[in-house]
Amino acid sequence: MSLSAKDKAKVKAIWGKILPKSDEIGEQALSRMVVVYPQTKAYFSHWASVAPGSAPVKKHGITIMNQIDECVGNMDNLVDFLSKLSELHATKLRVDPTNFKILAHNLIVVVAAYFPAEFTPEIHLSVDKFLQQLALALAEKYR
Amino acid sequence: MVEWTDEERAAISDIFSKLDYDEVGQKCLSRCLIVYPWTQRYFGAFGNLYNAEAIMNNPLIAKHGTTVLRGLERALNNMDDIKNTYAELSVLHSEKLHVDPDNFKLLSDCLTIVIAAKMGTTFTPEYQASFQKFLSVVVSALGKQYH
Repeated sequence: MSLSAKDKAKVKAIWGKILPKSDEIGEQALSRMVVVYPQTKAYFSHWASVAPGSAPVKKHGITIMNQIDECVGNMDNLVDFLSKLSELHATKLRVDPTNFKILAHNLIVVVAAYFPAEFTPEIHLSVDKFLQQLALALAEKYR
Repeated sequence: MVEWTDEERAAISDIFSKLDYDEVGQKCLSRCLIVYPWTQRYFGAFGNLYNAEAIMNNPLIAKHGTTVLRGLERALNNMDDIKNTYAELSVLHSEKLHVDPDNFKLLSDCLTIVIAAKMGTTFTPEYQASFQKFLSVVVSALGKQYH
């Protein structure tokens, strides 16, 4: 399910709308993930707080969205671009890749909430494919 | 038996009270068929599904979307025994329609997203948690009679 030129264009188009609200959207997505899928909190036991809106959640939401932003600019070679981050996730963080799907779902829920008119089914399809490719690239070095 | 807190019941009722079944049903089903095109395999008799525009304008799909939402309302009205409420529906989906149960989750994800689009940030994380719990009980009940 690789990204066509149309997919890439659609992702770039909606990303243009997402970027100005990127911090907020990142925070919302991460907050939803820990509330709706409490098992994901297991990866953040070293944080002072996992509460929605807390400082660590805000900061990490920004980190994630900044990386996704860079991925939007590197859709032609996600595997190479994410090589180091994949190593980090594989050897140090060891996040089970199912969780990438969970975060992607919550990011999509937030984008739909913020951009109901723009987030059409066709845009949704391309974003879903993009996040899936991103997750695959992130899991590339796992084994 | 599934345990529901008062907050969960209230959240789920509140969400349903805001839904126009015709609107949400059409949006949810057509989004599923567009985002996950393999789900179209179950809709061979529904006419033109050739592209996103055709799907969005297809009256049979719209009608079926309403049917799905009415089905969910039955679960809402029988929250303490969704499993038995859905026993016949489960047999129908397994023996007659031959739907791969993985598809139930795809449709339920699309419904969550359509509701998020409708409610914006009033669809809070807590509301999302309650509603997704409801949908996961529904999905589980629908898959119960498969063998």
